[in-house]
Amino acid sequence: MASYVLGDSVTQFSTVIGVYLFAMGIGAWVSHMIHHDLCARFVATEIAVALIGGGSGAVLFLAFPRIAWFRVLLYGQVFVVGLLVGLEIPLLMRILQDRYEFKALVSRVLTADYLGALLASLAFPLFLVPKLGLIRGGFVVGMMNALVALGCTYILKDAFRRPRMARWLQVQGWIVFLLLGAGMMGSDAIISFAEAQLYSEPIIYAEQTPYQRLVMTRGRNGFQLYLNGHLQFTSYDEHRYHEALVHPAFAAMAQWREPTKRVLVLGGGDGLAVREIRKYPDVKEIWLVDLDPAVTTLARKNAWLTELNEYAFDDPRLRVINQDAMVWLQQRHQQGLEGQPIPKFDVMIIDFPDPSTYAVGKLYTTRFYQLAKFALSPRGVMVVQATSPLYARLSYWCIYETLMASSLYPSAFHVAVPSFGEWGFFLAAHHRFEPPSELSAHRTPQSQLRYINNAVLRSAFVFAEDMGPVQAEANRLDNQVLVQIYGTEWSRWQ
Amino acid sequence: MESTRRDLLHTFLGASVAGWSGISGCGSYARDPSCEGQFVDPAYGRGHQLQRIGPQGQQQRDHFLRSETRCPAPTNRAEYRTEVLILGGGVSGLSAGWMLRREGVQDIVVLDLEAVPGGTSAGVASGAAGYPWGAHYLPAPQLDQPELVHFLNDAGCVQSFDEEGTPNYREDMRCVMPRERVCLRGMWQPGLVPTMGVAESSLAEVDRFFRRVRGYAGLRGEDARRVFRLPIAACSEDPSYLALDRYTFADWLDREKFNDPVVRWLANYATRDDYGASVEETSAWYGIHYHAARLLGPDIPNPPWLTWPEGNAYLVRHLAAGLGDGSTPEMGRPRFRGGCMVTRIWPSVAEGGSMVEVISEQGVERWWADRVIYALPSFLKPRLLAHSKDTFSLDTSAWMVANIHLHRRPAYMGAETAWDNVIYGSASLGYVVSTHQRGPYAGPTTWTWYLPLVGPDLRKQRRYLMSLTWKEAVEVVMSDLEPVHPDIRQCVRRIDVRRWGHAMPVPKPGVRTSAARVQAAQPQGVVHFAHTDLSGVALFEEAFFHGVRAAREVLVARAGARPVELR
Repeated sequence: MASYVLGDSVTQFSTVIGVYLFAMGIGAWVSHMIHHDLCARFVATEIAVALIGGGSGAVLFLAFPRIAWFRVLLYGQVFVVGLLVGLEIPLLMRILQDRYEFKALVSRVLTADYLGALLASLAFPLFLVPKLGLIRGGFVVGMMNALVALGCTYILKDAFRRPRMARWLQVQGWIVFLLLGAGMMGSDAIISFAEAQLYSEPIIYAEQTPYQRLVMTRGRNGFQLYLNGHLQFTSYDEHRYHEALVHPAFAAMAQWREPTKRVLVLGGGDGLAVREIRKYPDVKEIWLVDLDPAVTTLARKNAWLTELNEYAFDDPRLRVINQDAMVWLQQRHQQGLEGQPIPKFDVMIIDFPDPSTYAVGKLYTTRFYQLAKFALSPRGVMVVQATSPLYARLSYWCIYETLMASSLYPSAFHVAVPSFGEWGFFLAAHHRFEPPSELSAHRTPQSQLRYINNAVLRSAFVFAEDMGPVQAEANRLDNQVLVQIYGTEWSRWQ
Repeated sequence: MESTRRDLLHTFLGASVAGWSGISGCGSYARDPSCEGQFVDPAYGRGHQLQRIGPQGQQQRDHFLRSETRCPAPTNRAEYRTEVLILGGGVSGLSAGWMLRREGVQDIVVLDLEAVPGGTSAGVASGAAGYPWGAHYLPAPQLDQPELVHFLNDAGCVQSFDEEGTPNYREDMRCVMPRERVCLRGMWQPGLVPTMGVAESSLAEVDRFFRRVRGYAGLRGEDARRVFRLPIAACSEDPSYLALDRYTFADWLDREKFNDPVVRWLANYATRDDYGASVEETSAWYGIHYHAARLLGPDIPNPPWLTWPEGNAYLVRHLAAGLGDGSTPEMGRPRFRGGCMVTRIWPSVAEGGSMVEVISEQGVERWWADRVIYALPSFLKPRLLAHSKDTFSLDTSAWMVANIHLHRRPAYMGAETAWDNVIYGSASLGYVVSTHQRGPYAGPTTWTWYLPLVGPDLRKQRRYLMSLTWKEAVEVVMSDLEPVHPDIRQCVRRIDVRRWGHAMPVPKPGVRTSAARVQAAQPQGVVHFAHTDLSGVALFEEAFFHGVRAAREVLVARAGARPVELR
């Protein structure tokens, strides 16, 4: 969950793990100080783990949008659970060693049982990619812990020095168990309440797909789409982004007097880039490759989205392919090598999420651009969404370097999108070229552009001092430097 | 002898799993796996029938041949002739064939017990859905192995060469990031060595260990040769470094005061991974060789690793393709002939050639050849080669390899799935992901899980491995993976298991400096020897080297000159 709510950067989880393991070490050390009444201490610890660990998912979910010091809470909780778990294992071993001196195996197995259950109690709420059952799962694991604690009070009854203590712990155990049970019953309510708190506007749609969590929110200034908590667009300013994504590429083609008949969109399942492409009647085929069928289905059916993308999915020129873009390009490349006729694309629009994980980072590598280059017609142009040259300057120029290393000629441009900030792109072609200075005149007469005009187009290729080129290493499949750079750069803004 | 589940797991996975097995429940016997699968063993049993025949017992052999072929008497033998007969279709035999074909030799036949070539580099090639059964990667060779670079270029692995001729290997055949991750206490973290949750002092020791072993990289002996390099035959013979071969890698770690548990685990992981032997069995010379041989100097970054969905079976396919396209019109027969068990080699017969007796599916065959390249394990030599004076033989370790076909990817905590996924403290080597180059969204995948059976009594380990039922084998695999992927049982579609009885020779102390080892590579009559165990270890580079070397010997002899001594 840490990465879910704080953003899924590669380094995010590592601090959590570090804190957890560190706390376990401290717990183990603390266990030295406990000399008496091991059983009671152990059961009490187990109950505490049940309560804190079991409820941690719900607490974190609820707390995230509300408190500024969320990290303190997150790490605090991780630390406390780690400490308790670290304390518990040595205690248990000592208890069992006294008791089953000649039954080493039994002791080992029991240890493992508890250890597993305890690990799970932290693992499920904290680390698993969010599923619908996430919070409920946390409660369930917590309840199991409480049952283990209760079981111990019965099984190890005579190990307690004071029977009264055992009974008192039993009462505590049952209370925690019932509390967690209540939490579990109400977890659906908690989830929707917590998720609503996570977004600044009310949620109008939420779906968990095998790949990501889709959330749409709506407020006074239009509606928003989030994937895994990352804002994809806000309806009031997305036209700036999507006009910048599409029209400079068509402007370049017009300047080179090249016809644009076949267009490929990689990513961009919301259909908003397609909406812009449809403004060019000469385009005969639009191919859209997006991994997640849930996104393209939503963009085809959801009333808010269809209105915004102007029913782009009803266009007979559009064909939708739900596949990993790199795998798809690879297959075409392979077919090309085998001598099959593979139509190439005049304009390619590469619009992926930011490279925050290795799984997405591979879509920004030399290998990927080489495959993309293969799919590009000899006089065609591609445009690449390339993060922010202001907030993630090194990442942006790393993508530039990667395009260069793939023997493409990139040309950098940027626009201001209020809900994203300063945003960067690259045009890239097989040949060296001057940035386009005039929009294509081949648009349908009734199509209006709301943001880009010739002056804005020309200014987009001008870079201020604080966004200008910096030296960077090319991003390759076998180094994936971009993911690390991006993680570091973006963490400064969180 | 009914073993309990705990005994079973303890035998294979040792203490590491005993501490964890509770998670998967404490059943007294292997559970019914919900998936399907089977053993996909090499022709181990068939090879072992030969063991019952004494090395010299002609009568027994005749009896065996009769029972094996159901022939009334071993008289109606098929007779064949070939110029060069290669025994063994593993990497060394195929490399010899590749080299001979490259030099224009037409009349070659490779015989192998298996139906398909490849030996322990076997794998299933099926485009992106392939998976390995054995060796699965090759550290990209540099210019110090020109023949191998040449071959890799033939096999389509080289993108381009720079001005100095340094190969730039294809990006889609390299191992991609994230390359490794390691699971410590249920949580995955990036890299092979755990850095989180281990003491600062351990990290410092790991660093010292790497600096120490990499310090040998590029180092030269008195004879100006590099102390550690590939092939091993070209390494320095400077006695001050060969002294490392007198004791085990564990002894070396003790001497160097590497007592830190993380360092010991790492060193042991490396020797188990590459040699199928623990630090207690491995010679210190070989232990260091693993870390130092592929680097030209201590500060030079590691070369990229080349890998394919089907593992080194990709390379095998190209080596086999180099033999010819399956059949040669001029000879009217394929150059590779599977399902053939060599039973006897007579190194020199009256006509000046050699005669090899083989049992194939068709019956008993006699192969007459001008030259024979013996590319079989050395331990078979006393049984097969008449009048062999050789005393060289290495113990071999058994491996269990499981291919786990998944219909969805199991959950995990921590770092993203890597190519090589290692479980800290486990007796297994973890698993590799066959589709890692395509990322996590490329559809179903196969994980290949490796377990080298190491220990002082390799024979016992091997017997125990062979006594397993498939269910028990699956239980061993699942018990190793369940603590790090709690829902794995629900994700598995099929598990196939291969038991390699003799997967790798064990490079014990004394192997590097063994005079018998060097002697064993010398031709006997018209029989030349090419097998990776002549280097003491099972490495693609060494197998390739010996194959090419033996082929060169044959080429020299064929050109009419006497065999000259080659490195």
